[in-house]
Amino acid sequence: MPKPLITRQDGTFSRSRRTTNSAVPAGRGLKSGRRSGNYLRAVRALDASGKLSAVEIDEFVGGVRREFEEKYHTIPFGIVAECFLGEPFEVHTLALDGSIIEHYRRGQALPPALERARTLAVSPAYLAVEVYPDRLVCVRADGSVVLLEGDS
Amino acid sequence: MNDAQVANAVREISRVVGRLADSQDELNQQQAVLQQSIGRVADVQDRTRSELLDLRAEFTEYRRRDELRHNLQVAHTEIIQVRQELETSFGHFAEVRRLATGALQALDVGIVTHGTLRQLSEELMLVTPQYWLAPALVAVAAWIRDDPDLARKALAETTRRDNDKAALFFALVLRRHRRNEATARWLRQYTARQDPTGLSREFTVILDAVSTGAFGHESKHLVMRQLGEWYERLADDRGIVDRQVDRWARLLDADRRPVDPRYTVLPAISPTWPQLKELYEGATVHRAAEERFRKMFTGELPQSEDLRERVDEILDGLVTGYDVEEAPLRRKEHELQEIVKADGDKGKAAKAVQAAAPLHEETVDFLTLLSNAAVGDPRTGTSPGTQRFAVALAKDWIAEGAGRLEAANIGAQPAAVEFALEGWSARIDQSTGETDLVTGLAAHIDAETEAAVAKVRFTGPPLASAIIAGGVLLLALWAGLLHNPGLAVFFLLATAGLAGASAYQARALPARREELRRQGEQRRAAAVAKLRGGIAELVDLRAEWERELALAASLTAYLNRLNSAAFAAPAPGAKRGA
Repeated sequence: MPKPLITRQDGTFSRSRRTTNSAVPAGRGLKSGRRSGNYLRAVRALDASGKLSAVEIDEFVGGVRREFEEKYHTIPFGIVAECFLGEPFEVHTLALDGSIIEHYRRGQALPPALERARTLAVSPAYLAVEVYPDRLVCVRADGSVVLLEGDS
Repeated sequence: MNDAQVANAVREISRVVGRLADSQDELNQQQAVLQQSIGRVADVQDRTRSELLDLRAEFTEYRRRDELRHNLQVAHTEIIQVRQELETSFGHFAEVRRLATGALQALDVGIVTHGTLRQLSEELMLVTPQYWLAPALVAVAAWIRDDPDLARKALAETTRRDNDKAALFFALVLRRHRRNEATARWLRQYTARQDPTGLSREFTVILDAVSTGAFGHESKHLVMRQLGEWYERLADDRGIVDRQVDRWARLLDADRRPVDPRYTVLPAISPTWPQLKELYEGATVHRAAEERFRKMFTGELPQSEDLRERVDEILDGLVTGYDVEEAPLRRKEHELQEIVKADGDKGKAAKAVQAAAPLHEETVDFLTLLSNAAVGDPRTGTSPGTQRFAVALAKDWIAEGAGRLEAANIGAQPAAVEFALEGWSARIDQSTGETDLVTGLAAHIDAETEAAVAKVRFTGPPLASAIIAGGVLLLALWAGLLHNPGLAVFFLLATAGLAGASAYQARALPARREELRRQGEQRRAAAVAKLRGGIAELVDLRAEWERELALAASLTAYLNRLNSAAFAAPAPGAKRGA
């Protein structure tokens, strides 16, 4: 079991699932929206989360969450990104509502909802992959996004 | 029984035992020969099996080719039929069409009398009922010879038959004669009537005129503003934009390159090969797309400096390309053409037809129309200039479509590649090392060889001989106990004979084991070589896949550099960028 590095609340992925089932239509404007510089900086910074204080993490995650709420009216299940902590870590995930960052080793299974984003997240083409109930959104390093309609 | 009889019997037995030993020798030799023959038969069987597999592959290939050839022939024949039907049903339209630009050009040089023109246009009016162009030509002829009454009547009939085409036709004819204001009026009322979510296909003419600079300054400005407005409005509708993106994704995906035929070992030993092939071929679309667009944007466009020639080209396009009556036959012709283009491969052709389906819709939204023009309509022969202009306007969707293909391709990577050969199988992922695989395969084959060797044991005839020898020895002891020396000697001799035979047979066992080990080693060497070949090919394929996929970024960068304003040509004589 991966050890949560930072656990502010006892939030789990099932909590964020509820968040996305809000009345606001998920993904409005999501498809073409270029992610902001703040968002990109935050996602990059999270990789070094081991060196950040809890306050800094909260700040970053809060910024990202605000961006989603204000601009796209939806919040992803989680964000999966390649982990540069070095072997054996491969990816880390961020659950936006609970601010939980978890680092996963190579071969270690991600939560089922996030697993399908794994191969995309480790590809050099994308900085991070946002996972929604019905789609994946791959974010490139320049903030442009690619939307993949998922079947699950 | 007296001693002499016993001695006789013993001699007889010795003789029999001697003969037995001889037969045993012979038997052993025959067994060795048999062993060799079995080895040869196994070799031949292996060869036969591999030849049979080759034959089957060749036969399947032959059948496929035969089917393709058949499809191709049928398509060729049917194309001719469809074209004949087009000619019979709509051939008379051609005459009217030729007259359209013919009359205008003849009048330019002033060598045709008004009478001839009038007569011809009115005749055509009679033979092509319901065709919008015939009264339009009557109107043009009447206008030229200054007969406003007839011109007005003919004009009314033209607009009744096809209001939109009439507006475009007269706008272009007027532009040809530099009546720019009148052109702008026709265009204004034409565009005001249009619904950007349901444009008829002839709207492409407007794109043609803008991209070739056939409109005057005023009209161009008007049209560009209108196009810009529609573009903004429709680009907010994600449904419409998504359709464009999907369409471009499908279109780009159709242009795949097959995997290099030098990959021979990997397909043979990896059950994951179909996925790998699909993955690689899916990644090649970016290179193909970039080459396609670069080619489209390279070179000077052949463009006449004479306004009239430019307008005539567009007029030709208007009168030939967009008549709905012909649409079903044109669609059929297009399907057959795709089959011919795909060398008889109906699946591939169906995919291309599916991707080009919006080209056949009677009314389309503005964005789809742009995509249509960017794809290039095979029937109207979209001009290269229009194509450039439309691609530059559609670049965001193209880039998005390519981005989706890229992401889908990356996401479709198999988690592990399976190898299966010689009854051994392994899953290869990022953590697998070549040495481990080779060791695993070698160990598997060695284990099988050892199992086969272990089966060559002291069993069968030698064991039976030994057991009987033991039994006979007991009999000899029994005879000894009965004080019957003759019988005891007889049994002892029999024991010796049988034991000898058993030992003799057992002597051949090490040789057979050695032979099996030798075969096992050969098998191992061949399998390891195959495995190493497979791994090398896998590494190569992955590197090639990564190289192809990396081109996606280059395609996006190239598309982003295109600027639509640069591809709307200025009118002849006007300053560039005016």
